[in-house]
Amino acid sequence: MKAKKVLIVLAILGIAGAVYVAYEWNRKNPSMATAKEDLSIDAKALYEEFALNESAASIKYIDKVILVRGVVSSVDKSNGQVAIMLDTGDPLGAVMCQLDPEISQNSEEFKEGDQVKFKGTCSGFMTDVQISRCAVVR
Amino acid sequence: MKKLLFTLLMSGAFFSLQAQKYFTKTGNISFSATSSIEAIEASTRTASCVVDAATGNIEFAVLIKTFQFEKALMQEHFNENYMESDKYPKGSFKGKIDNIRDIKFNKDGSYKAKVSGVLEIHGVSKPVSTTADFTIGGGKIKANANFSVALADYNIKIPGAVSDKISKSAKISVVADFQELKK
Repeated sequence: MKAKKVLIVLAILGIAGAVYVAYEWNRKNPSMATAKEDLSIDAKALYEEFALNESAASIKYIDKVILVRGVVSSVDKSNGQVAIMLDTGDPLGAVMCQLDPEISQNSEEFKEGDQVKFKGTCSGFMTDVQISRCAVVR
Repeated sequence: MKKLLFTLLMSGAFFSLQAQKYFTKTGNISFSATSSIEAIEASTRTASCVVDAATGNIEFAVLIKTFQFEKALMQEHFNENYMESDKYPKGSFKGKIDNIRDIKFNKDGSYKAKVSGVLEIHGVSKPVSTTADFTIGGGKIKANANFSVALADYNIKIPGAVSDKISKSAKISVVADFQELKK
């Protein structure tokens, strides 16, 4: 009788484990269209933090979901992707928001001078602050 | 007056001879390390590259965290265990197009470039060489290159439990659409 109970418990644990493994294995990156932001900031302020102290800014922002506000300085559509550059006041650096190709977004709507908001994950700094998998925020 | 004019013309000629550079901030780099059951591949679309048409110098740089996988778990393992991207956030290539004179950036056509230089991944620098195809047409400059790297060369360790699932080498493919760098 006792052995039977132990077996049942083990079987339940086994199934729970298998479900967990399958869930973890098939887990997708969260869509930025629905993710909640960890931080929200202006493009200019975000860029300045990275330009002044990259290591401190890296700890604060990298891998976080960032809601970034700014003005479009250019739109780069080469190579089948869309990256929207946000003005930082520095001609050499931008906040580059790469649109998530998995989310259907009309890239035609973005024009130089437009005020925009994007949500994405911060990937780091390399002349520009790079924000990956962006979703436009209305 | 004539002398001044001549000087001006000469300086004009000098400037037009000055290094013409081409760049992109949205280069596409993808890799595959698939060996058996599961596809292990990822790509980034935000690699930067600069080519100097006068000297043949070429540089690539990419943030490792911009590589996107289909599976989130794989992406986390890639960053945390294999590439240690908090410690080594960038990958880069610095080198030269050895036959830069053969590539006519202002003449439509296809050109084979011999590229050699130093690839830095995971904090380890190694010499690599490959050929790249440059396609120039309608004012557009496109380059693509394919090469392989052995993961062990870059001190990327694969745990025994998954060693049959991950290839010992990664096939890397690079596609870049260049723009003229305006001063």
